[in-house]
Amino acid sequence: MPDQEENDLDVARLKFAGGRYEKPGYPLEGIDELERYQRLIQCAAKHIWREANPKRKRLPANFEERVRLRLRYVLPGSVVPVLAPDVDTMSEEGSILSKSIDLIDEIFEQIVKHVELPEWVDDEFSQAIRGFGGSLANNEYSTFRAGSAHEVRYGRAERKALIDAMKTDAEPLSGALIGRIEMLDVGLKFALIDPNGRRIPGEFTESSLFEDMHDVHHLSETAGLVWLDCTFSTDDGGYPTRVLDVYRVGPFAHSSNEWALRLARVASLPKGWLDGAGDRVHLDAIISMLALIESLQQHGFARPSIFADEEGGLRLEWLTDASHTVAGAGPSGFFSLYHLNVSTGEERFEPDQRARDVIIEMLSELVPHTGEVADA
Amino acid sequence: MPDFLDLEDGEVQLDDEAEIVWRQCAPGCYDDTTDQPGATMFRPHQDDGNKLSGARSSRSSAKDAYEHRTKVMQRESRGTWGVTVKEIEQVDSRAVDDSALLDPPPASPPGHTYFDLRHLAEAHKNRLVRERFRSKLLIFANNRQRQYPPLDSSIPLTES
Repeated sequence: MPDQEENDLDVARLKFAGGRYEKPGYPLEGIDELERYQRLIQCAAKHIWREANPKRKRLPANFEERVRLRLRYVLPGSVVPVLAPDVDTMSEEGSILSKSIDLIDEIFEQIVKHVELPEWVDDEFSQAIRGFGGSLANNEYSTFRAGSAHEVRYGRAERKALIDAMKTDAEPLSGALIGRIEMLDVGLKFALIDPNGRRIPGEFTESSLFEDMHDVHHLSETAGLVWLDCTFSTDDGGYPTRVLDVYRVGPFAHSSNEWALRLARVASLPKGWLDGAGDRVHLDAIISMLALIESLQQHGFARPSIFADEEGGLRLEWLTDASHTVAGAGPSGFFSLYHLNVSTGEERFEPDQRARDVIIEMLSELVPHTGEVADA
Repeated sequence: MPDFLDLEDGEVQLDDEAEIVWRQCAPGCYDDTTDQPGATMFRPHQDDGNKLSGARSSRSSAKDAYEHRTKVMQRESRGTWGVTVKEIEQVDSRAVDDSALLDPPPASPPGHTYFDLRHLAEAHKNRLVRERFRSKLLIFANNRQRQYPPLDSSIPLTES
């Protein structure tokens, strides 16, 4: 049994559990994970050294070999590989080793909480992070800071979420995003939570926008949704992964407004949402339709079904056993109305209408409503 | 009588007015908050060449059609709706069984049938004509209600 002095050598506080790691000893298939962990430490150490030595272009000779770990033994109770500094590690690198381990713990904490990597991570480091955990089965996981009050559990699901988030389309898109601003800092960085709960990190370059962003951040703190006119990268499914820049921002609606929440979800459909067809909803359509539904709610109209159309517009639809009524907001923000009653043959069509009041007046003849103006 | 294009050898126009043609509702065409489908359910796929895909009820049940989309094609669906041959004719279209020209199931759904819109390609560039077509079919389908999964079923719909 290792004595206390040898236990103190465990610098990594890394643990593996579940599946193959539940039996005594360390599964040989898991050795790769230890090697990957060492790779992480070496990448972190390089970053730390470069930050501390900005004027030096090259790492010291044999740097990686001097920041290395050895598996001393395995503690019982899930698998705790006791990793100690290599006996050849010099005291200077010993300090960097400790800092590197802490940095890796912080990075994986950020990955688990926010599904994102720090901005400064280079390609080599990014690849090492992606690789760690690749051999873990569904019922297995690693734990950073094992035994502390701030353990970070990282398994297959967390790794998949990270890799999915790291996939991006080559061509960024410009358009509207809706959600809550969760975080805003003076470095012009923020995080948006979209209506489906996806966390989208972002930044903006125009510092004069900070005040507007601050205002909508405040709205978001009281469950208000906001819209962004922005450029963003997307994943393979067309969903936004990162906001690259913001041009305009404004209030959308309170998240307790069920019509508006449905509108927000529909407006968040990715390009290709209709079996490969279907554009993303345009911002002008969103703003027009938001104003229309607020008016309809105030006048006590029956709740419509809300859809996107394939051209980037939005539609409110009321369907009965004999009739179908559609109020639309096109990509340019212009309204339209269509009504058909198959029993009476009545049909009405009003395209390209700028005035919202005209559409509301027409709808009042076709759709049930109380006619009472609710309090604002 | 609409000015239909000629059918290909092996295609068969459905002539039983009461036969139903099934149509799948994609998630973006269904409002979960009101439990209603929308008119975009009757929009042809961009690759379909003005042929709106479906399956005829004499060769495919509503359940078979749903499971072909979700399990074989691995696409989402909010369920199977249906309209009759007579209702299809009321929108100046016709139902054509082209299953004999397609790869046999499971590559294509059993009884694959399309709503023929090829003669309406120019007309459907007019927004009013397009809205009228989709609205009529939506009213007809909605009156028949969702055929699969059944409304009182505990089978969960696939997630969007």
